[in-house]
Amino acid sequence: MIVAVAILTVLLGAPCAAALDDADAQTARAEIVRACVGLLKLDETAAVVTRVEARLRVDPDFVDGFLLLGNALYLEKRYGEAIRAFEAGLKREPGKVALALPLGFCHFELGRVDDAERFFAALVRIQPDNPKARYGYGFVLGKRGAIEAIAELERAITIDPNYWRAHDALGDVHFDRGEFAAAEAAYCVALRGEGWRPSTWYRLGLALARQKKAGESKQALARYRELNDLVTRVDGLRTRLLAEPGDDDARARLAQAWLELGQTAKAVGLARIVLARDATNAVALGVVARAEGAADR
Amino acid sequence: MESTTSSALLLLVAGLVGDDVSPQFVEVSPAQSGLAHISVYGSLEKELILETNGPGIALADFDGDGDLDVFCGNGDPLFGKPAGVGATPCRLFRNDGRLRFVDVTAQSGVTIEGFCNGVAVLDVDGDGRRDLFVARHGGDALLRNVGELKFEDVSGTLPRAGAWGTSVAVFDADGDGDVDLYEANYLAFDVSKPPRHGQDGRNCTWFGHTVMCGPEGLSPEADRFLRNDAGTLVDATAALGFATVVPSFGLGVLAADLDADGRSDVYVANDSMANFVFWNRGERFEEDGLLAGAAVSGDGREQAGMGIDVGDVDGDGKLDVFVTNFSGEPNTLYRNDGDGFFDDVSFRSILGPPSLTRLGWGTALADFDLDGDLDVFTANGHVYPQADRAGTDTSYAQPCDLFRNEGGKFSGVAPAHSGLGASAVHRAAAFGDLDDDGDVDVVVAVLDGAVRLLRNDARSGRDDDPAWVGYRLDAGAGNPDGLGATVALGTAVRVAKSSFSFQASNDPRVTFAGSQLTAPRVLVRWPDGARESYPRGDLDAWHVLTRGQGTSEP
Repeated sequence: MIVAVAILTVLLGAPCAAALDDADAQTARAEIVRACVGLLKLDETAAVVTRVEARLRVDPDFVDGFLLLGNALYLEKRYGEAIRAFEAGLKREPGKVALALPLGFCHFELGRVDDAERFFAALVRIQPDNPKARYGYGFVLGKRGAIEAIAELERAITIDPNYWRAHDALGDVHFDRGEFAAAEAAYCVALRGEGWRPSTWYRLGLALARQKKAGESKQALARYRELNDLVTRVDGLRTRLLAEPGDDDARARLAQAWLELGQTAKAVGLARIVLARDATNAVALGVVARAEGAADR
Repeated sequence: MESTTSSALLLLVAGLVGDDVSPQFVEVSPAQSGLAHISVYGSLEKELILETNGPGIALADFDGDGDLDVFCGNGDPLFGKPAGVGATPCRLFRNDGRLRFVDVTAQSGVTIEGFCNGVAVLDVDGDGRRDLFVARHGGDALLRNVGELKFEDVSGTLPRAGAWGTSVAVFDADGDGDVDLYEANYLAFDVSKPPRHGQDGRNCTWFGHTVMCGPEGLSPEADRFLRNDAGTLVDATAALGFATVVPSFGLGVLAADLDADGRSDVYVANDSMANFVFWNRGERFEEDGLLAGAAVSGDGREQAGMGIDVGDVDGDGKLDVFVTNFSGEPNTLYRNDGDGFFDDVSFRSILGPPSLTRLGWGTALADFDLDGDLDVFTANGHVYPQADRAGTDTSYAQPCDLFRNEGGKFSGVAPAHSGLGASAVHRAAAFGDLDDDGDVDVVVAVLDGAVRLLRNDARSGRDDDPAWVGYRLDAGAGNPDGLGATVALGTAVRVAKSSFSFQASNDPRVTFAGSQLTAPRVLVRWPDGARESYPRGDLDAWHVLTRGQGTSEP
């Protein structure tokens, strides 16, 4: 990790290695990037891993490939392998911040909080106006209980007021400091953008309870339970799809769950993958119809 | 000059480190201790969830001679005994002092077989002797202590057996003076039709590897509460309000007065589902762990809770809760904020991050280094042998971990200093002062392996050994160990409890050390709310505090 930070810090701005590639390679890469970005948005990580790994075997300097691969592995919670992918990309293009940002979170997920903090601190120094860097740094500082987290998260929000995760993390810092009214306010903002996240409803429910707002707390926790059940269902179906990528019944049910969570684009995208192979899949048809009906309304 | 100064500083630092009182565990071999027991727990491939949780352990003074004897649970080969494996009974070892144990299984009558999971020690019949309750798959066992380390199997007196009992908590739930029993149950498992990957459309994979099925996708079993009615355990699960919850995959349980109202509450760690907090309202218990902030992680995730303990880790007088969890999930420290609220401080306390690559089971909050505050021990090991494959970020065999308390935050003790570097597939861990020297030793179960005895050398006969004082509580017939009593010396608070960790029964005695030792008197709040104080007693010694023999306190 320290090596990665050092490379990033010293060589930022180094010329892009990809510039020397021939036109065919660039075309192939662009096609994979286009397809895989779409697949990642649908959490179709297995397909991304397969396609990118195949390309990297013949095109080992495909930096965006390492970025896609790392992101797919991160979503699959294979953090150690994701780190290797991101670092392989950084080795080839040391200045690519997009590769460095998720590295901090990978280290965090593996319990290496010191490494994650140092990583994000370095990124903030390099790109002080990058809201993701500010968020990452603030998130880790907040988990450690450091008051400096507030400034970092507020800075991220100033740069990008619609950075809902930053609002959420800011709520957590206030909560941990016993500032329950401020936590409530931050969670409410976060929920405006990402109202499907059960964790935010949970923390909001607790913040309300601590302020003795029993009725509102009960409502928030009821919403948490409802969404948590859906997210648990989503997680189960995603696990199944990782093992059985061809299970379109599971994919259709996943689309249905995402639709219930209000994630219409993801739901329709998954349903269309199913319908491309089986135009009669009733669950997938239902998802598309419901999504279109909602759009019409 | 600079280098000389640096060298001097280095020497000074080295000297300070050398003088530091560090908990040093030393593994005592079975040949040295006589504590020789190798568990058999299904196949080594672990294709079934029934084969994964491992046997329980109990440390208790079964013969009334003042020291802790050891009961080791066992499992079953399940589908055919491997070559060379004979009967696989549980075992009982008598403590003959100086960490020497003698296997007295044959003459004791504890030769029960099957998957022996959680163990509880309680005086069911009020004769002052400690009986044994063993939670098993397919039917629990109750062994009545008839004296001289002999037990009589009275399992037939138990109400309808639980299907798969795991951990058991012993406490006085109804305030009648004797102790009752809460049994966490895991899931429905039919040995004649075990769930396997691919069967009935089941997908049992983890990081792309086929693994044993469960608990997700299997049916959780409801826990049960057995009330002691004059020596007979009767099912009172519904009567006391424990049947109001959705059946969950129960693995860990303990009872403690979490809201300081004088009554024991119940905390249940569930696997992959929300944990329970049952508040004791007097006549009934009410579950509301979610509102308390102690049912799920701080970010609202249901975790796979295994082991559990409570203690005042930050010295504010309130009991905090610690739960060990699955790999990829941090172990969780719930700080007790009072008023029935908890806050997940796993990351702030530093206990969470190092546990993300571990799968924790047995655990204790105890003053392992005798400096006056509570440290943390966790026994670790994965459920999947496939954890050793690439890409999982974890491993099947794992070392135990020790975390030292430094003002409410913790720091991991390096294996070289803890003595806990050896990896194994650890499961239950039982905690107690086996050699009566004042520090807490550990007996750890190893899945399909030899039980490990870890001697704590915080006190090892040196001139600068830390001072301590310890107490056994005696609340009289029915509760000879004073379970549920709260003991305070100075500002430090300890609870007399045997049911904590995972599938373990532990030394119920309490110890104090550090700056609290200057207090002249020790205050006991007995389970029924009565308060008595006693002279502190000599340092570096165990004392018995008997109900009714102290000075009444308001």
